[in-house]
Amino acid sequence: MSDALTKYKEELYCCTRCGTCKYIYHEYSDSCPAGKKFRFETFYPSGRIHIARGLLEGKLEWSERIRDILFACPTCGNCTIQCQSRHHNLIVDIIEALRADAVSKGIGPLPNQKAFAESIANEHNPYKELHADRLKWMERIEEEVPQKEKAEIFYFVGCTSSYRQKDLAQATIKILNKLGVDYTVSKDEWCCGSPLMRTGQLELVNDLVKHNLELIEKVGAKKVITSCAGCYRTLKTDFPKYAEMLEGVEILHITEFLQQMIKTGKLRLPKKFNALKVTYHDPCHLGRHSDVYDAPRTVIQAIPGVTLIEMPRIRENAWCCGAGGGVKSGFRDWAVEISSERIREAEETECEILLSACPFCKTNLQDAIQATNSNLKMKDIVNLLSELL
Amino acid sequence: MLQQAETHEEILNKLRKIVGNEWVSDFPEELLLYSYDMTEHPPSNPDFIVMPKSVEEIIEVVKLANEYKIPIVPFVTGNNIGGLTIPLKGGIVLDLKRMDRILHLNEDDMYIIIEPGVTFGHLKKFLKDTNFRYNYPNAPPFASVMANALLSGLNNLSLRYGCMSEVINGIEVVLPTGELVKIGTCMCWDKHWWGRGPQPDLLGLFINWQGMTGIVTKMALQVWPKKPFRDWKFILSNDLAKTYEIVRKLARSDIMNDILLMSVETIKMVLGIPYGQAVHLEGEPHWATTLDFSANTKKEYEAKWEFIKDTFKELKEVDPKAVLSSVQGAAKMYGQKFAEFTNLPFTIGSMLEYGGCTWVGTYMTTNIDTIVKGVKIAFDIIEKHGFEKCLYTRMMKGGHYFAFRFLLRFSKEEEEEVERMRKLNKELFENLYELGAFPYKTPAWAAEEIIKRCDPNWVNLMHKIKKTLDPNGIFNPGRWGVE
Ligand SMILES: Cc1cc2nc3c(=O)[nH]c(=O)nc-3n(C[C@H](O)[C@H](O)[C@H](O)COP(=O)(O)OP(=O)(O)OC[C@H]3O[C@@H](n4cnc5c(N)ncnc54)[C@H](O)[C@@H]3O)c2cc1C
Ligand code: SF4
Ligand code: SF4
Repeated sequence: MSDALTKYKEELYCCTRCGTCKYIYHEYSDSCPAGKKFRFETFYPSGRIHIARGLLEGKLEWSERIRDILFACPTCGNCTIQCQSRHHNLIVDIIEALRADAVSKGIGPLPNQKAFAESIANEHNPYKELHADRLKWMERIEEEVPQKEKAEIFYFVGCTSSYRQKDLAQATIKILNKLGVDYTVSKDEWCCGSPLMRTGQLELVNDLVKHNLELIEKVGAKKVITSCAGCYRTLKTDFPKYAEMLEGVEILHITEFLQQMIKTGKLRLPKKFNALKVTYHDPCHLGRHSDVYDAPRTVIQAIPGVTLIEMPRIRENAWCCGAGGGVKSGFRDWAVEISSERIREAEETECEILLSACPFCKTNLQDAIQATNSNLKMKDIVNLLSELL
Repeated sequence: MLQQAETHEEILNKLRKIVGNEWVSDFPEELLLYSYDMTEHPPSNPDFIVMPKSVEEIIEVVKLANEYKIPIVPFVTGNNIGGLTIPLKGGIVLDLKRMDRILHLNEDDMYIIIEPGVTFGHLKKFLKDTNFRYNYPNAPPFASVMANALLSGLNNLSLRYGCMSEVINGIEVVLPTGELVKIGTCMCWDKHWWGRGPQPDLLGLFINWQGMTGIVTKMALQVWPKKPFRDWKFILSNDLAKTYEIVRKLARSDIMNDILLMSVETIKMVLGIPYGQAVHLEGEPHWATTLDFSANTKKEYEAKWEFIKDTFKELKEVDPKAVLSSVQGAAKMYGQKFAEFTNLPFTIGSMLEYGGCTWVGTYMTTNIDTIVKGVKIAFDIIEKHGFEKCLYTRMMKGGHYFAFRFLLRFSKEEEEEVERMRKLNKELFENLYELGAFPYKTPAWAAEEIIKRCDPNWVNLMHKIKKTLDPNGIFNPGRWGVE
């Protein structure tokens, strides 16, 4: 019996397949992108739990089809909110544990996802970029980017902002500089391990966690700030599963940090937008996985001239952008199908700008804007805010 | 496997041609998942799962099933608690989830036309911004509205209107031989689905047949105007006979929407008391009754409320500890989950979190002595088998008949427990049948028992009808003693 199946044995027998997780409880809009797309019972959260049961009872054998079912899930966690049974919080953990089993049996992950692991092993990032280029994003910007040996705050930039969404790292720097806080970035930062944890490739994870914690400890930071929701969730909720956390070190998403700065009056925005209507997409990693819903909204509402108009499915019930859990790499077209649904929902608010707080969501939502010829503009909250500085 | 490998491939390819590759599966994981449900009924594997999108596709699949003489079992969510979608003889499970449109709301004649995949949740959302309401079971929201009506479900306006098959205005149905038939006034006019009409009512050929005689593709169901005033009250009591007496009086008064009488164990389960611990404790009241009523005006509301209070006084005289409160008040005392009774459909999470859920649910007489006797007998049996005494009863159709059932949760982890539940349900059936209680959503084993005991001419007629409609015996075979 594999580790995953033993660990969650009791929970596997909790699910009756009542179907409550198939839509938003008491509201009844779709909740599960995987179920909505593939429709067979197997592709819903309950299906995955019952597949695990089948494997446990020897009624099923591992196969590539089972692998595909397990990986056809952005691990958005919407099911963990809608399910009313006692195992609800563990559904995504069960799916991820099964993925790890698939990997240990040599059946998983999906071919494209294997490349992450190789790249992370060689270059400490999943994008097949050189580690030496990690801080290239700071070239050709006017802002000074501190690289100190010691600092109060460690800005954990993350691989996506370092190599793909550089403007997010640049905007974050602009804000931190404006605030005049004592912070640093580091060329020695490694991938947080999120892409590996989400796809069950756990071999390198301990090393990544250990390395990054040592780095933070060396800097002596009391706060770690991330501008990536994925890094945030990983540092905050996954790292403690692998290592003892550093005492007295607070992990904050940039929006939480900015919320603190707004509340203490340290962030002042002298300029103002001209009647700008925006809507906000809750990243799964920040919202459902980490319970951060108010901070981004507080920041948005504090931006002068901005009005926040909410979509129907928000906060715990937000429709996933489709990029997470390895879906963006494993099922490219479907990932954009999922985000296209979100774009349509955002368009209904008649806002000009769709905001989010995660570079990964931004990429996939931006892809959907293109795919659907939408007039929406996609921005990270940090980028919007930095425009006023 | 029903067929030789070659035939299997042949059928698979033909099914793919009809509905598209991605909507057919014969993968072991799908076959396994559609082979069982949350009940204690033994599993049985299908050969194919097929998900059609249109009536035309269903007709083609039915023709193919006739050609190869393979069974077809319609399925929407499998939440029926009778093991009714378990394909007893293998074949095709026809998952109708993709056909989930609400096609029409007729505001003049107050009905909706729906496809099979519409669930209670979908309907509730659809009706939210209209002036109409439907009525909901205590099932999870993700259960088919159409299947619930076809199975004569008991919902929260059943006290007024009877079981759910009574509110069907008409259907469109694919017969086992592939013809598409309309029943009700829609047989004359595409746009009039206002009733079953004065013509011979053929609807009975499909109600309670569990998919053995046709696949219903459209259904018109009555909806009712929302009332401006609606309220829920709650009674706790100890004297069962007297409580049923006032419940029956209220039911007959024609002023109530719904009356549920439950054991306190049921309330505890709903409130989240863990499995095995929903028991009655010394000093606690035994019975809990929810009263749902509505009114067009404040005056009407007050008059109804007066009548309820007066009727309650009769209980109070013989059961001095009985209390009458608002459901909201009870929710304050017992927790917000209790208020879910006012917001159907809802999921009784604590009933559904041990993997197994079942009951013998029956319709029976409203004779109070019989009911009280039934409760006593059933509780003894449930106790003997080591399960919780979660009673759930409802007056139906103005008090013309009575719904008598238990909500039994169990764990499916150990086969011993599943087997114990099978024995319990058999014993419950046998004893309640003696009292005149008829199990609805009748599981195959209970149907076989009934056939042994009932009018043989009824059985012959049923067989003749089935044979006429389904000469190859391919629609959900193995039910009601029909192979
Ligand atoms: C916890 C719980 C509580 C419940 N409480 C109640 C309650 O209070 N009152 C109540 O009435 N019910 C209750 N139910 C049962 C449930 O409401 C109904 O049985 C359900 O609505 C039927 O829908 P389904 O999706 O489960 O149908 P399925 O289980 O998919 O199908 C049921 C039967 O109908 C047949 N069928 C399905 N679709 C068609 C079609 N289009 N044409 C022909 N035949 C078809 C199937 O073959 C099968 O025989 C409860 C269920 C659960 C799990
Ligand atoms: S995961 Fe939860 S909500 Fe979904 S079917 Fe299972 S018990 Fe029901
Ligand atoms: S995590 Fe999201 S996509 Fe995956 S099963 Fe749950 S709701 Fe569906």
